[in-house]
Amino acid sequence: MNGTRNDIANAHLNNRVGPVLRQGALAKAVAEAAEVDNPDKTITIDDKVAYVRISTEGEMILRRTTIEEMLGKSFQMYELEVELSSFSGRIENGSEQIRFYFEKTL
Amino acid sequence: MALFPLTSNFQEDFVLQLLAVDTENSMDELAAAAAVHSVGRRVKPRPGVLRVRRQGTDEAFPRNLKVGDAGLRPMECVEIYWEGSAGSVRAPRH
Amino acid sequence: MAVLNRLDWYDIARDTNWTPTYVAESELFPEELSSAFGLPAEVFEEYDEPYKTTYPEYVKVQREKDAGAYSVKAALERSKMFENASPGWLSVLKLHFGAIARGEYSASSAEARMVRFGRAPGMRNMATFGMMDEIRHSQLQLFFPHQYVSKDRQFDWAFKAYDTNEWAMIAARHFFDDVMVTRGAVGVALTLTFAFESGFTNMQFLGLAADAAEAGDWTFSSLISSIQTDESRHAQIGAPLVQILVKNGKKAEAQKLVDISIWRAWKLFSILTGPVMDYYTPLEHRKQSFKEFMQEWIVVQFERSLLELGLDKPWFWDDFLHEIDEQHHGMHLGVWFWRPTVWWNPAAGVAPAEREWLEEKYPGWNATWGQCWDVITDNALDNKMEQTLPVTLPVVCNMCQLPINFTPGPAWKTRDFSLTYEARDYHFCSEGCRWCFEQEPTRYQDHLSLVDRFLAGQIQPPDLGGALKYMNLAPGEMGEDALKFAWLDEVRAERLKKAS
Repeated sequence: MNGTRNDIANAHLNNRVGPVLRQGALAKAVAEAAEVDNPDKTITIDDKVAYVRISTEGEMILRRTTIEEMLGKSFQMYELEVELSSFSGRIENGSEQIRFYFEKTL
Repeated sequence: MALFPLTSNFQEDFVLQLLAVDTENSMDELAAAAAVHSVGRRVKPRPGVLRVRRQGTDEAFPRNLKVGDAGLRPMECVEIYWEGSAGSVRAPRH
Repeated sequence: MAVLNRLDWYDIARDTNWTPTYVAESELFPEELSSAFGLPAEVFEEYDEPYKTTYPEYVKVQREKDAGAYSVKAALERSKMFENASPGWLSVLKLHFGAIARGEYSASSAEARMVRFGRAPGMRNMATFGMMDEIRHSQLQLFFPHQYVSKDRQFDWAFKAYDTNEWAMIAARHFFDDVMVTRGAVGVALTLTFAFESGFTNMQFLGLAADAAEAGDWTFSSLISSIQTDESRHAQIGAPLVQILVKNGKKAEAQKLVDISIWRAWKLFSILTGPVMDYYTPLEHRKQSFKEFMQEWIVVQFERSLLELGLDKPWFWDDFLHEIDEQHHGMHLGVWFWRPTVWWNPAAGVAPAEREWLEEKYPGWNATWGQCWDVITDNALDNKMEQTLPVTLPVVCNMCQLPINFTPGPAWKTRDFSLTYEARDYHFCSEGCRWCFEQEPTRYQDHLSLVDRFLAGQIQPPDLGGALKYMNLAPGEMGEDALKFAWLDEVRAERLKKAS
């Protein structure tokens, strides 16, 4: 049963960071905000129906005002937690922005 | 005469099972008792003679040897297999 | 009035360290309960929790989370999910709630230990929220299944399971007691929050939520993914500690605790999550295979984070990658074969189309597991039902407490990893479980597995009936084939097609 053993053995050698959000309006707004707030990066959206994995290489920043704009209503940064089921990379959550990142690049 | 629990690892089965035998039982009787828990439940019956060996060894115990004289510890794992059958000898792990 | 941003006041508000004058520091934070590896208080001063929240934020956010979970439940109460769900899916719910709901209270007590005995203010602060999170999880996961108790008494096990000696529960409790109940504050931050919660809980609470959504059970999907938003926050308690320990010469100690927890969590999830994803969830609703979810959550996401924080891959990583291909198939077959001994109805999941899917996801399945299932299927077709049931106990591992099993075949991969310690013989399923025991034998040596108890005469009468009584399984609670063998129709149709 070797199959994809080699792929799995190296699968941890990645630098993907970003939030995993429960499906809904906020997830959609965050996916849009990720594009705006990280203009030089390719954002990947992996839709698993119950959750959406939004990721990019090395670092992702999400700004409160951008999410607010995409949602079309006022938004506090801490409200992200309501839908933030998981995330890749490290987290740094402030009042105006949230950042997902790795310090080491593999 | 004493009840003697062992661990049965039967050829082509997937799980170790508790096997209650008697110190007076022969290895053939042990093998037959082990077969009840595996053959016809999850293991296809095969023709041939069932043999018993200590886990990790290649050599079978003599068929008439009594369980009590085999130097086994209670709950030690024994492997039961069809003598000379394909897959009876341990292939390298992984 | 202007409101300060959180970061402008957070540090000063949460820094509740003080210098004790009436008692010694060592009495205030006894090593046994703080388990700070003998490191002095100063080294913990740089602890800075990465995922911050404040009490007002916590209250607002949690209120919104609960409002969401309860409103989905209320909205869907008339949807007849229970009546319309496949029997396999209902088994997923029964297994989940029974194995997990009460364990959340243990997790709450673990968080409470960090609240009181954690060495850093930030750690104590985050653990306070974590403690309340875990109470929420227990209460939600007892309340949600309660609506089904009157329809199906196996749902009563959501509450009942934890107090029984049912074998799967002994296994779950042994693990939870090890990583939650009996570790000091720093230890539990590594074993529970870092290894278990930032890693494995994602499998059960998000991976499974994806299957639930596909299966149309939005109430369950919404509930467990909401629970995971709490985990995602308080799981971050451990990460800064890992860095502090690595920096202060305690990397080996930290690595060991993390490795123990990962290995033990893996074994439990191989029986809790593996069979559910690859066999019970109806084929058309499977989002990914268990192995693919393991790769997504544990390899790509969690293993990467170990390296980020200065730890290494666990020594058993190659074995682990090997096992995620194979181990859960045996756990599934074992649960199904010994089905009267569990509180849910295992779905065999081996109708022709399902076997095709298994072979595609796990090449070689038919030549190994399939051989055992062929014998079972033929017996069932011939109505030799007694041959599809056991007449002895499986031998269980003295660490994970699960049946010792692996892939059948000429490699004889299933074997007993034994160890004699202080004149007692112990039996383990793997190198990993034996290694866990060897790290601290006195911690585990007195525990009796179900088989040990049987041999010690604690189970009377010494037969399957006595064992069922010992496990508190009453008629109507004991598991049976989820589909009552209706899947045989597909097998018959397939064979007719081949014959014609």
